[in-house]
Amino acid sequence: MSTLVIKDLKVSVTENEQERLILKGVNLTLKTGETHAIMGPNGTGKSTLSETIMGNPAYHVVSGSVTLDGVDLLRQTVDQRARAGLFLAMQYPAEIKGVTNIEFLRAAVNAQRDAADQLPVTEFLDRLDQNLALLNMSDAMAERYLNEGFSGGEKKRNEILQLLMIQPKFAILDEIDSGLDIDALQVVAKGVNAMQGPDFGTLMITHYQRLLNYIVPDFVHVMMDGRIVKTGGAELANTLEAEGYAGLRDELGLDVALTDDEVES
Amino acid sequence: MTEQNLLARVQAYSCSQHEPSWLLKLREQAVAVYQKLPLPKFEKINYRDWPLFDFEMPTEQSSAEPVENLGAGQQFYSVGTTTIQLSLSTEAIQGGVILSDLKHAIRAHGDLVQRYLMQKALQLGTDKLTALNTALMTNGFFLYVPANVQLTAPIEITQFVDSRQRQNFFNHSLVIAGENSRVQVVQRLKTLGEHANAAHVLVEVVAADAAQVEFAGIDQLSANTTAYLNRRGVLAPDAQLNWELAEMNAGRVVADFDTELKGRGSAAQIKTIAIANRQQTQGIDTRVTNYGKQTTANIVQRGIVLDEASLIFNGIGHIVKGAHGAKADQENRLLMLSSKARGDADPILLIDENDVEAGHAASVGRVDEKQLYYLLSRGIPRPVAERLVIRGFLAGVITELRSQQLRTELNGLIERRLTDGNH
Repeated sequence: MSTLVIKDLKVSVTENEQERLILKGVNLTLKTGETHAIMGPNGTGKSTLSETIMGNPAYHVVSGSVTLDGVDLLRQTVDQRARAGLFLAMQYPAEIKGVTNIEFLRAAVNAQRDAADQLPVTEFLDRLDQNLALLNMSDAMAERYLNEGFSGGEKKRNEILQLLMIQPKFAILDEIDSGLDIDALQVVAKGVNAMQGPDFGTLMITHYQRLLNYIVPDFVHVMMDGRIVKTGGAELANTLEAEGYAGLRDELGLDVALTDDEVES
Repeated sequence: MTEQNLLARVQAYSCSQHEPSWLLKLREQAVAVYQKLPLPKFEKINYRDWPLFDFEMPTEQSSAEPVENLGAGQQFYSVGTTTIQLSLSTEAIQGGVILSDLKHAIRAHGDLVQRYLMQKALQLGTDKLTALNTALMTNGFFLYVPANVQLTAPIEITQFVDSRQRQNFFNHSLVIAGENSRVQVVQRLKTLGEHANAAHVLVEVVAADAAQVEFAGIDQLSANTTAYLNRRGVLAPDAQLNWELAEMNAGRVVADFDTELKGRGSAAQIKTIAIANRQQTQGIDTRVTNYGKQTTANIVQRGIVLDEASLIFNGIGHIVKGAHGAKADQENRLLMLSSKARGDADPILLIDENDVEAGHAASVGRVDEKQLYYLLSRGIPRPVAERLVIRGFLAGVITELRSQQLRTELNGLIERRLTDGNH
């Protein structure tokens, strides 16, 4: 079993040449075999948390720690963190013309392995075919340039395809449900659920309870104003759906402005 | 060398080769013009002190040992001035296509050579280096595709600069595409041996009415070869010329890639990629001149600069008066991979007519951080991730190449250039 521990994490970003504190002390422990969901209103720091764990240089850790099985991840480069077993399904994956999806996947899969133990091509292609089929993706998707000209839904599927190919210990899914219709959402959920097992942990970030009907969490955390303000089981998502974030805020007596604006992107 | 000296040596060489009198006369004129004209100007490059002018007389390089294994699969393969291999497909032979070296063509097809050599695409008055080449050229390839002959397989040409000893390389080639003909040419320039030498390489492409010419130039001259490259095309009405040029040289290079859209409705595409590394300087002037009405020019260039190298792209689109309905578009982009590297991507538009369309885009930038982060986040180590991002940068040219074989070859060459040295 592996454990990802986030302790009192404070993170700022630079806006108009000024540092603005986004995460104000986040504590969270994930174990493989568990499925967590973080919910919360816009602009509350959910994406900041996921990008910071991955090591996006745009986010500056002020204090706190992130460890994987006791190893300090914050000292590691982005690619080292990925090889240590982290995966982030991104909201806005980059597009790279000239690099095919298949060669990118092969480079990513082999990056997880020793130079002496690279995945044989036939085995790689077998796994690729299985995963493409699981996600209702055509073979042509593998031959296309990485995310180039992909629709929003195709990009999300492609993120899950990478997840299935790379087989990380922990996956952070940052709004993997945004912009998906119900059919696409079911396909994406099928992909994530296929990963579930004792050696895999998930952290889903979402605005909406809908995703959690398809990927059922063991824990739901509510984040407001840079902190996790409440943790519960799957039923907490239903409560939120019924009462909204304002209801929870008032119940907890928090002084937090809620906005529908897309502050965070 | 004094003018008298140069002239005497050129005359002696021409005589030793039993050249026809028209060619001797052309060479003599070239010597005179060479003395008069200034050096061609490459913006932002001073190449006056390069060892390009350290020439002797035209020389036969009879010492060249054949290097058989280097020319596999080539229709034309030469080392220095020695042509080692010549072959044509059945379709080409049946169509009356001529492929030979220039020396042989002068003897066997003198009328054709006389009609085209320095007459259509280039002239003696063009510039000093072109005149010098005409005075001192010793060989090259000669390709003639008769009217209405449409070849399906490319003509593959590999030419080695013979640097197994100290000697100059003055090479001059001709491609003549008859009316409504179709031909693909791949010219590869390489260096054999370690000596420091100058290479002057000229190619003239003459495309008659409605001819379609695809010309790929893959230049991989070594660090010890200092080169002046000049590829020049001239197009008759409705002709098309597509240049696909890869400057993968390791030494100092100035290159002039010019195309003259003389005939109405003619069109040229120029795609260039270049990589400069270490202390290398490569300067590439790519010019298209629209003379004819409804002519179309499109230039797309991508360059990568590493280490302490310099890479300069000057893209020149010139629409002359009377070229109604002409189009000239260009895009020059450079990627800088080192803070000590120097790069310039300069678009120059000269428009002398009103009812035309012209556009340009240029940029000099660094590795796309968002793309890099994405690749790193999948565990791909930074050096590999950077090369993939670079591949993405070059994709604007590479993915547009017509031949899958060329795309693969170039990707391999790029990978090697980028991993050469510390990268």
